[in-house]
Amino acid sequence: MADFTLTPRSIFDAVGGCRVEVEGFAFDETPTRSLVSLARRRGEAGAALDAAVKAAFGADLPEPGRFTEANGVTIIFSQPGQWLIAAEREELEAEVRSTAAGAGTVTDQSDAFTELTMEGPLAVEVLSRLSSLDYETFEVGQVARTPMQQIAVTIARTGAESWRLNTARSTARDFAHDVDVAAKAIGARGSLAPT
Amino acid sequence: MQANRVEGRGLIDRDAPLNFRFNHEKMQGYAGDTVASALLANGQRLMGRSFKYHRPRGPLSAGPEEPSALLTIGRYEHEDPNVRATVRELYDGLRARSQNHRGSLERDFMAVTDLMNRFFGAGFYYKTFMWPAKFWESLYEPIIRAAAGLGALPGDNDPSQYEHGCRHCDLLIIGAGPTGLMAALTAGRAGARVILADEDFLMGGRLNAESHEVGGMAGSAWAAQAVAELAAMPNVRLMPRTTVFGVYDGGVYGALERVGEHQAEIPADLPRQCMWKLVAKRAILCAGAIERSIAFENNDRPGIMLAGAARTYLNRYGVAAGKSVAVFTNNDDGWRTAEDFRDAGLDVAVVADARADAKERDGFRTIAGGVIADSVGRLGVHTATIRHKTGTEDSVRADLIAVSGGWSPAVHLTCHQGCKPVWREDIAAFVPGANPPQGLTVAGAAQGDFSTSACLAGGASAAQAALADLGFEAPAMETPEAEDGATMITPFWKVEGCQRAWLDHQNDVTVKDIAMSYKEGFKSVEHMKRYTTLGMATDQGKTANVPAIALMAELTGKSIQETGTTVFRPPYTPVPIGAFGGRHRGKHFHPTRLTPSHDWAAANGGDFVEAGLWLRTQWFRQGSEKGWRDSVDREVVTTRSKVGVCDVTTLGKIDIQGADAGEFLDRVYQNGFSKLAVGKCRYGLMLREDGIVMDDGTSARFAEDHYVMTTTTAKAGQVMRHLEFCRQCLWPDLDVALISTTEQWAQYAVAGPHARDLLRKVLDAEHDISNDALPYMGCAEVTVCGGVKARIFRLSFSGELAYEIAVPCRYGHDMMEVLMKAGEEFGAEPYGTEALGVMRIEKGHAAGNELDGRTTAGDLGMGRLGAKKNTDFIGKTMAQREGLQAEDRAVMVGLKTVEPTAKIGGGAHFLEKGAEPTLETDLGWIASVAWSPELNNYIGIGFLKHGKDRMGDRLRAWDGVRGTDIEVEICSPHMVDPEGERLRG
Amino acid sequence: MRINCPCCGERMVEEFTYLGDAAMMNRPIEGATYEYTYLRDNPAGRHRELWYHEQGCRSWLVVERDTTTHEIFSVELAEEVRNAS
Repeated sequence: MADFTLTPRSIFDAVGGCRVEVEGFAFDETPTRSLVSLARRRGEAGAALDAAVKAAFGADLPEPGRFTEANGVTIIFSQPGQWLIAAEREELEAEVRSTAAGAGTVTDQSDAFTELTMEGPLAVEVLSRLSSLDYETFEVGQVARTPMQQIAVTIARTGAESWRLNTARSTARDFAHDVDVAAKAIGARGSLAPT
Repeated sequence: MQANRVEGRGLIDRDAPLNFRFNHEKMQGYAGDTVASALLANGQRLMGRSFKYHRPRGPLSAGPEEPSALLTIGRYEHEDPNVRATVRELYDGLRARSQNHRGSLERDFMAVTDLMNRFFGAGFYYKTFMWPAKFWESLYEPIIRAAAGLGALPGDNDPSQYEHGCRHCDLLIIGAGPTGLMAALTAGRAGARVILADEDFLMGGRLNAESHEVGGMAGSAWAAQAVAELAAMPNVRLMPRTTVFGVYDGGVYGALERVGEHQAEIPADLPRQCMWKLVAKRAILCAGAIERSIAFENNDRPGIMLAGAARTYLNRYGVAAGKSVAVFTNNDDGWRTAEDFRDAGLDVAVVADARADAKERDGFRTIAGGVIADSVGRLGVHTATIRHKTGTEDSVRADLIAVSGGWSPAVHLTCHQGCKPVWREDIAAFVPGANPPQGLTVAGAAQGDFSTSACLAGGASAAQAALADLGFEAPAMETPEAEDGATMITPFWKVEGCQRAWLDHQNDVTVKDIAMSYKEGFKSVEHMKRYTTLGMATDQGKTANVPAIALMAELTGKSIQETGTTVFRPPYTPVPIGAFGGRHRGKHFHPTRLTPSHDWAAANGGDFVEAGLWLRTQWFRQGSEKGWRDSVDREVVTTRSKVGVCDVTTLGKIDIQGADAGEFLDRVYQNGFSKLAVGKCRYGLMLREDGIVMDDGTSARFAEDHYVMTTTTAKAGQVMRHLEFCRQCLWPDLDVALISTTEQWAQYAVAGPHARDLLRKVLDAEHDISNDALPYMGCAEVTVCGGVKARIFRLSFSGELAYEIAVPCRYGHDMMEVLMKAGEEFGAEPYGTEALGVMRIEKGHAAGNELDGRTTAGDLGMGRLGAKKNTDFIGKTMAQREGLQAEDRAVMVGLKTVEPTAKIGGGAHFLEKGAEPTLETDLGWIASVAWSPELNNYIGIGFLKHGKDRMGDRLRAWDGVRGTDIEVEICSPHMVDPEGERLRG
Repeated sequence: MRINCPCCGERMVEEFTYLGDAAMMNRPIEGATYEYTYLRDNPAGRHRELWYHEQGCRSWLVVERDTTTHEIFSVELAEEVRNAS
């Protein structure tokens, strides 16, 4: 008989969180949402997936490089024929499973990724020190998977000055360290040099 | 005492004095100075000793092309050698040291080499240190090494931070002189996204160094006004102190920004430099031109500099590089130096204009058709020797000789992708060739338009062309009024009869050396360069190459175009290795992956080892344990007698789903999986297409259309890539989807006689894990600790009764704690990768050492699995090749040392007793070794020819690297519990 | 070098893993042969080759590239190329 309990823990619990703050920039972990991957079945079976998802969640399966959102559910393009669905409820996996029945396959990824946010006018500048994408022209609603300081990150622009990032749990501490160093370096420039 | 400051001139801030030291002397300069301009202001024109002959040297230039004025800047671990004094910004408290002298700068003992210069010409080393060969390492090399080089690194770790970054733009403008500023204004006003990068800390280029006007105001004022307008445009990014050093494919430019380097104390978080990747749809190179010297005897003394540089010191820094100047020129531009010096109230002693048709100019003592033939002055020039057209010579007192041999466009970046410069006779200069890197155009002096007016117009029109390409409407631009003097030049490379006349000041290459190179047959520029080392110093011959090419052309009788240039490669100017490394160094050389039990392990004596990017626990040190063997032996004994727990999260895990998932696995594994029952696991061996083993692991079937594959830790990425290749490129018709779940599950091996007892305490009551319900190689989805979902696999790498239990990672840390608490009553202990390794060797399981990219399934004793399979799979056909099926292939065997405690090492070779170690007598190799606490013996796994027939034979394990030769007995690799009774129990 | 991924747009070459000749997609039905496994063209000039967008969308791509200038003429999803053939 099990007399033991398991407490869910963030990768940052033991190191006192990952918040980074400099003037014009803030970075932090967001409360864990459920995250489920959905893959379209190949062949005719998969054709029904778009309508099923739309009916169940009110959001479209997004095109490559985009994410969609409705009723607290986010659907993120991941790779051709594959999406990540995020929502703040434990039943998400079961919901997606029943929605996709026969048309898609489902894998729970809630613990594989750490969800992080960046806020502020300097976020674009910090991102330019971490990765090689063009964040100035990156649109709200756009999403990309790209290495940041050698660590793969899925990044979505959720607002003019707000970003959401998903990165593998095992490297999340290193990633947070990279963000910290980059942000502080930009902070230290101050008015020394135009940023 | 800034004795050489000229009142009323310069763009320095006289209200901001800066104190600094040169060697041990205290000096003062101003904000806006470079180290070189401040030293000259203080009357210090001797700044170092030359590379080979230890000749006294001062600055030749006032810019990035500087070959001579190289200093060591900073102190202790911040010391930075070979810094060009002509570009390093002065800051308060700066410490500078001169280089390459024994004894003081003024009295360098090594200057004796100059007296012996007859022996030290080009090729001296190649010819002299040929024999006897054995002297090379013991004698010649140490002496040469001690004498070679200029400055030295401090030898400590560089404490500076280096940043990396990436920026995108429509138009990158390289250089902010008149051309670049005009181009930036044009593109900025059109609304294009512009980056304007300039290596200087003050934008404006030559406009800051010349005295003529632009648009009715001082050139520097016009530049400042343009910069201010650009700074106010949100679509324009100004990057001063940023050198674009390389052009790469696809519109990618490498740039180095000096971020904190110009400050006395770099704040803790501020990087010293930032290495930028600039991604540009179009780029315009406005890098200007570099002046070159003329070769005459002793043309390298402090006080002899380029005529344009003398103007820069005067006009930009308010420094008279000399009180009395002698100008030596072959073009009109050199005259500007004479005029500016006169206008500043300084003495112009003489102007020697080498052009035969040179005109006398009012107010100057002009030597038309004459030259400066020699210079006098031990630590700095004080006299110039004039040679008239007639050949007669006389002396002129001058403490500054300003030389202009013409200007060479800075074509370097255009050459980075193979474009070759073209010689233009009319301006006596190489200009960019016809096929510069894609997306890059050239404007202004960089393409041979030397007048300010032409530069301004050229910048505007180059930007307009780029804008049209990019679909922007380009504004009409009015070119401000500026000088439009055609710079007349008659090529003149060297004074008749000169020998010790310097071309490459940094590597001490003279006219004599070029002649020697020619005489000995090194006539192509590429050969000449390597024979004389001309252009091979850190300045890459920016001032030296063109004159040397011209001289070689004269000697060979070819044209300069035919002679051609050597190849310019990135970087344009030196870039510190630290900047390339950025933050990827030390602990952050690569990202580190942490398992969910990492913190628990760190708190419980875990010692970590890198496994790919992962940190895994090797062993858990307890109490008084001294060596690692103590810990590992204990962990093995505990696991085999009680129960042990090991974090195996790092194994790759791939979710494979879809109607054709089973078929997909049949094709990628050499054994079949489509017939595997749901709730079962199977060991699979994955081959490469050439029949060699790629990876192994177990795959579990959780549903008809759902498998979970495990891979080794090391190959997880490679296997995923391979499977996606199979799925997308080979079999797009199979209904199968792949996704890595390595990061999702925290997985622990629980092994030992009490494994089941332990897990029963953790699993929720409804799950039966008795031997009947969950037999060996069974798997199930279960819950633990009151409803937490989990997966359990009955797998055994150790050979014991064992399970792997997986929970979502958020519970991983607590799961480790719970397993240890639940196991307390059974004496459970954690074990690390070393104990894991010992037990798998005892059990004869192959791992990375055995799957080394050379072995086949047959070599591992698993060939039959594939041979029996009818359907095709990756590697099937090629595995049947004769060589891979040969009878005498070395196959996997176990071994024990005859003397139990004789320590053997991996990599030893099997030899018959008495055999000489040769390729012919080699019988195979030992892949893995361990001390087996179970058998009280050193054991191992190896590959032995005819291994199956050699059970019980005694051979030698010969190790030529460690120098050991140990007797071993061959046995089955399954050394512990060969029948597998424990793991099925 | 930058590769214009049909899914992700232009990305730095560091995001991609190179495999080689796109002929590797044409695996013989009866199982790999010596020619398929080992013999490949290695032209100086235009070449169709396989790249894997490992750090991006994990698509295998067929990239037509000039191996002497690194000019890229086309980038297609390998799966679509296979399905079209």
